[in-house]
Amino acid sequence: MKKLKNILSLPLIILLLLSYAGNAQNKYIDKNGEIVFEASEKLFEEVKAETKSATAILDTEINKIASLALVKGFRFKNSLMQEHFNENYIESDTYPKATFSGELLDFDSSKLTESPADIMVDGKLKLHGKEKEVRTNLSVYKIGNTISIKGMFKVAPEDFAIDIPKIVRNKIAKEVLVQLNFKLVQK
Amino acid sequence: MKTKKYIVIVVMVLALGAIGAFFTYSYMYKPHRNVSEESAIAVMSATELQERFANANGTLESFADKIIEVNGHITTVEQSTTIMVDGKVQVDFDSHGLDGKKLVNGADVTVKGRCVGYDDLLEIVKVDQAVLINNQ
Repeated sequence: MKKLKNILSLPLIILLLLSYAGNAQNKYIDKNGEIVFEASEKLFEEVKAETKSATAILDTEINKIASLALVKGFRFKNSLMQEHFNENYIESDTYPKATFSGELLDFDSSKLTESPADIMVDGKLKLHGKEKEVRTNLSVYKIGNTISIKGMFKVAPEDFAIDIPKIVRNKIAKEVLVQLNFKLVQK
Repeated sequence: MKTKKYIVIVVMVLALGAIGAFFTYSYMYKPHRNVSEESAIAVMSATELQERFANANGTLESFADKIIEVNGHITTVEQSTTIMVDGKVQVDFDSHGLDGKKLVNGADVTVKGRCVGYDDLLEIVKVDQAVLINNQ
């Protein structure tokens, strides 16, 4: 009896898998997403890094967005700053990635036009082994089969248990401004 | 006589200060690593590299931040400076890494670049600051 049940459930699983694959046109992917963060203080050297290889996946059916940035992919102008950022602050050997997963609220991809619409996103940002809820406004528009998402939000190093030594504390802003720019192409 | 001694001391202090400033400056503003000048620690196919990361469960990142040489077929040319190799490794070229050469789908390539890490959303390995070594 149990075996029969197993045999019966197999086609169901295959069907589920197939329907999942069939929904691929709801997926929009960017492999070269841009993320910039800046924590500069006036009069001091710029504290700013950028990556152009973040990943973002948007599912327009369930309105979920997931993004991943490899921490080592962030590049600073000053190589020593980049080294300190990786080794002492964000500890990229132990915590190699930063991820965000969230939901676009009141979002309907079929209503997107070429003029930007304000869409609220609510989700969790995870880095340095800690998680924080982030809620921010995104500017979203669609040209052809590409959905563009732009936005910015602020986070604080202490939200992620990143300790800034006293000696550099006044050279690094208390709030870090994160800017993102994704161009997601339909897959 | 006394003034001569005084001048010697001042010159020495200035010289020491200049040397100190030079070392501090070169420490603080040392140039970024140059991938094309570094030699690769490993040579392997794109598939092999991806499997190493995928089977490591994301914890063992032995190749992260190391210079590696990867070979395989170009499966997609994403943008003018980004390619997918065998659908397993994403390679971002340096601004001068291509040397004006053009990349086409299906061609065999060998690239040298910095391994950034494993992207478990797309299950691919990312390599950046790459330079093209062989393109057929």
